Amino acid sequence: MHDEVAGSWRELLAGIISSSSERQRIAGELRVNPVTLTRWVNGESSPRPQNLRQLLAALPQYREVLFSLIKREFPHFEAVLAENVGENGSATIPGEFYMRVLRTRASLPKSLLYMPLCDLILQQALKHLDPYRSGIGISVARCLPSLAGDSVRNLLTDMGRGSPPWLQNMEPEIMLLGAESLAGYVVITGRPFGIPDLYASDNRIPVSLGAWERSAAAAPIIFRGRIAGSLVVSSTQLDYFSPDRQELVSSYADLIALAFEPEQFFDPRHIHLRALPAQQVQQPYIAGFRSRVIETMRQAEERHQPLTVIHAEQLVWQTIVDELLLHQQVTVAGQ
Amino acid sequence: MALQNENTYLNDPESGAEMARLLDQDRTLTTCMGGLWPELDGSLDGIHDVLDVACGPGGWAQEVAIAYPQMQVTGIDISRAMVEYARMQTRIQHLENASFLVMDATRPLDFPDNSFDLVNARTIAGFMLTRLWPALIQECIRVLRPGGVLRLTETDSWGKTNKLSFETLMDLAFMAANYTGHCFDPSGHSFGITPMLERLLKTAGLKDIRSRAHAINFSAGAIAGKAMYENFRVFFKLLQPFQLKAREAFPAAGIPDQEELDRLYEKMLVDMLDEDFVGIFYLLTAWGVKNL
Repeated sequence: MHDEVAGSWRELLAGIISSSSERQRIAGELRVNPVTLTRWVNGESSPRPQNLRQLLAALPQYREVLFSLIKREFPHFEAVLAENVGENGSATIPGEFYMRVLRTRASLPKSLLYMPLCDLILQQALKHLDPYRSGIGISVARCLPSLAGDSVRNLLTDMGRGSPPWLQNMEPEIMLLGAESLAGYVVITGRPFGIPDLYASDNRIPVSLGAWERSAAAAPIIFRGRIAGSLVVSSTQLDYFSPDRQELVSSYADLIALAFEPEQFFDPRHIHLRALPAQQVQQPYIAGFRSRVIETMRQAEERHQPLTVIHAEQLVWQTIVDELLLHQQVTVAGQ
Repeated sequence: MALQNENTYLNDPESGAEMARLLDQDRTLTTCMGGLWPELDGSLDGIHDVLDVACGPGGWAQEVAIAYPQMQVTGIDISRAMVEYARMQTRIQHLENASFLVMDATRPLDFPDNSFDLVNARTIAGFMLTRLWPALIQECIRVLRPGGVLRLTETDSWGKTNKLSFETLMDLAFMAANYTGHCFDPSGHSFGITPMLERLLKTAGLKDIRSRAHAINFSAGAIAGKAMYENFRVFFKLLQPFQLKAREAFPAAGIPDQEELDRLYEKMLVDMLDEDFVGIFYLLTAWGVKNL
């Protein structure tokens, strides 16, 4: 052990990385060059807070002594460790970002409003909610009206961003959600909700779990009492969503409301979410999405009633929902 | 003339949609190119101070700052909005080793000689007029320390595909870009910058000049397919004001009107959704070392 005589965390680390294999291992876990570890040890540079957190995680056998030595050099490290979004007063969305969103919204053509504005906000939310890249996925689940247009039976997640292990634009995560999901739950209740441990047996609502999800929070996207969908954030960490972070999720949901047109908000009385099949059941239906959009546009062209891509996409999603609900009925009837 | 002002960028650099698009593009390029500077991996020991020229919203610079906390990264961009956005991003990520400054890369850089170990610029042909390249490279060399590396990554076109709508829109984009002096390609069908890179570096006096090509597949179903589809969906729409200004300034160029641009745009979106859609985005990184 190296901790008996170490007077600083740098000295302790020097002893540990005198083993070249340990030096390589730690550098790998922290995703830094091994030379960086040497520079820290020699006092030539200092790690960022997230590097120190990762160092603690990489050296569990030294955790207590390392933590105490780090605090000697970085007195605020304890607060950073427990941190949340409170550091540097960043528990709220910066005012300049509101200004940026409003300016962007004012300059975008209607046909281009939703995606770029959502993208801008999701990228900001991603960095704000996960500054140290511990891994979160964030997505917008929006209300999809039925083909008849008289009600909303499900939600569509077609915009998402993530930090590893999630993919950057979360394309494989595209899916239809219903009452069985956290996204659906907050749309139905009209209130934000967080789940500190998705695997806990006493969860109040059933949730479908992704491979890396350990905790999640969601907030409805509301304007004038009408609902457009929800913002859902998942984390690889248990209990990630402190009250500050949940508040931030709600604030970003409020901001994302600006990416929707008035007609995309629905009266809660017309939202009747149904339970949809699991993602693996949906996949074969979603896999043919592109070709179905093209076919829909071709048919519309033949009828001399051309459709925009956005409109055709919506029609195809609505048709897929009908098929999935039928699938669900057949499955239930067969049981 | 309508198109001649201080900012020569094809898209509106103050637009939030352009910021988001550039951040997405940064991440896609970095991932598909194999890292932040894949050709330099293993030889980063002497690099402490990094300059990113025309950094936009600062995506690349922030990723360097996160991956290499021992480095100090500076990003410069002509757009105050981009720089303010990048600064806000560094604050919310608690990045203390990244800073951003408003600076016009087409004018003398406001840094002392020998300030940086690496100067990077990626996909800046969109604002660089051909006549400005030599002066920019000289400025980059001036602010480099002896032994420092100048690294340029460029593309001639934003993609080659098997769809006429896409190719037509691309041709129209270059028609406007050529009239405004962005293209080395005498035919005006591309920037024509990649064949020039090594020559420009050599003429400027750098040594150990090398280059590496990258190909990003954005065909239907390819890993970059969705990200690039979203990118082009925004890019071609945001490009329209520039094209329409060029149409007004150069009536003989044959740039179509808004209605025709919209029609092509819708067709391009449909074509990119087609399962037989194939597209490749080629880039070239060229780099050289400043004499000791």
